[in-house]
Amino acid sequence: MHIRSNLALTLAVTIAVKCLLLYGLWAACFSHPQTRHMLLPAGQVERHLFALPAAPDSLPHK
Amino acid sequence: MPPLDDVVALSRLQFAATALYHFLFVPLTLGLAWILFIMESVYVMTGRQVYKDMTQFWGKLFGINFAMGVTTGITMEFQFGTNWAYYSHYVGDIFGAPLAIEGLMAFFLESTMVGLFFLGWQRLSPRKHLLVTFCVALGSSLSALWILIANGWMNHPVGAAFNFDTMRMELVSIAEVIFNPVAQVKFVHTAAAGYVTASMFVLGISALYLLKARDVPFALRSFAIAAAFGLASTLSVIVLGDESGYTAGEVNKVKLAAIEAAWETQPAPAGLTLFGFPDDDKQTTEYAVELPWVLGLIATRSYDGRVTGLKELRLENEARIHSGMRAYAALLRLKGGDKSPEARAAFDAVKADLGYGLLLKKYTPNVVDASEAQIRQAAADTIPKVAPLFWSFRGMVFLGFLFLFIFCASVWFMVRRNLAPQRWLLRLCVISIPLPWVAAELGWIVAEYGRQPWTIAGVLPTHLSASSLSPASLWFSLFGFLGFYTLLLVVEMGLMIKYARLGPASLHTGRYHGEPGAEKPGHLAEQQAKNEIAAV
Repeated sequence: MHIRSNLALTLAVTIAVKCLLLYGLWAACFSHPQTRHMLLPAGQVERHLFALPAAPDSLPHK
Repeated sequence: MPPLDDVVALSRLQFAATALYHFLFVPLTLGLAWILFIMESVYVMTGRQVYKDMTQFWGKLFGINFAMGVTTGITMEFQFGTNWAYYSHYVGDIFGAPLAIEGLMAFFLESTMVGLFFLGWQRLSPRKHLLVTFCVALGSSLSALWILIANGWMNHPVGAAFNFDTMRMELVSIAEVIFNPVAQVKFVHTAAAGYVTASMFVLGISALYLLKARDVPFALRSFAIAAAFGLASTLSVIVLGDESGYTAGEVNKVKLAAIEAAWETQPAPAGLTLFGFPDDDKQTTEYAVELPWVLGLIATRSYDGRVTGLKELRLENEARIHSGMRAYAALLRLKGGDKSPEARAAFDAVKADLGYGLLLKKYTPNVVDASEAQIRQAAADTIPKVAPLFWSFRGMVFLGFLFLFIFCASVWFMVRRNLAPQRWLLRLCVISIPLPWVAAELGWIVAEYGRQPWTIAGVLPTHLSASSLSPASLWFSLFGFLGFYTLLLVVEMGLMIKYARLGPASLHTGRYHGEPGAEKPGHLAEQQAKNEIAAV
């Protein structure tokens, strides 16, 4: 019982620490993605792919 | 080593590092869940306590791996939005659905059932608990299915069309995406590789107990199940790997030719280069040892099917780049406001090659006026470096046949009830425990490196997929990930070694090695176990 509860405790602590670390990484590096809901403003994509003159940025219609 | 300030190379390195780390946890979960289901099924059918102990002990190791591995894949989804913004935009309409379904599978079906597996032993009847174990196994396989559907689409983008208004690929047929032949064969090959990994894991640890003559009845039964399941899985991996090669030969000829270092188009049926030293600069393979006919037969399943060589493929791609330039010009016309039927027809005629035109963006901002030298450079980029693919593939295949030998020998000596004297085999099983992970990682290198220079084969070049980030931020997050995953791996290894050493005694049933009243190690116990196995 002692070992079993030890393992459960170790795993619980590890998962908690892991979630904290993941949250820290996300907050530090990934909390401001350039795409929201996997969409970029169409004008930005055009400038990237075609170097076209800037058009008014707008989200494309789905 | 990528250039220190190359954003695309750093983004690739980061994604590769996280994916390879993530896949250290995945295959054991995939395979061990089914082995637990087999063990528990035998327990439910026979009522023998030892099978319940086996399910609970190997389930404990499964739990350690699951706890360490869960959420390690989410870091790749972080990267889609931040590091691969243009890729995400381009494919979001197709990728969103499989990734969302995978998330639901992983978090609701798989995780809920894993919780019930551990907490339900006292609360559920044996049959209901078996159903829970089945759902754990099914849930983990279904999670893998949806991810591999997404990955398969990157290699063979079907069921989608480019919309020039939104500047992205849009879903046309979900059925085509799901039943994409590349995705299907990739799923079964990857899942079977996971089953091999878990089988070798159980086989190796059981062999260690047998070498130490401890917990022999328990170890022999575990060994028998792992050997039989591992043999079936290895045969599946080999057959499905062959199918995967055949599919690659049909839809991704460059990858197949690079894997086989097929520089020239040979008369059918082409020979297979068993061994050699590919030289990318000279475009030859030094000291090549060739098996006549074999590649043609494997790759085309015919005597007269050709395997196109890399030099010819490069010329074909050069022609597609010319066509892609016309697509690019037609798209510019459409984006410039001319939406006439003629403009649309001009684009539709060549839009399949738009991605090839985009390859030129690496060399010139003005694709339409690219020089012949730039076109030749872009065509050269369509061929990935051959040597890494050639060696990774051969390493994977060699290991696959080594596993086949180990599982065949294990089943052979089990059936002949002559396992105990084969200490060489037991030692080989122990030292082979990490090898399926090596094979799986090599397989992913072949699959992903072989797709270069594309993130979506033939549609979106890698160099246009990455976000505009600073190299410093990429280095920072890369080291963050490496530290995070290394910590998890160290904790996992520590816990696995600790509980593997404890063995089934960690269940505290009073029946196992090191517990008061447990069996004495040695020949007598082994003979008794052999008799029990024979009875089973």
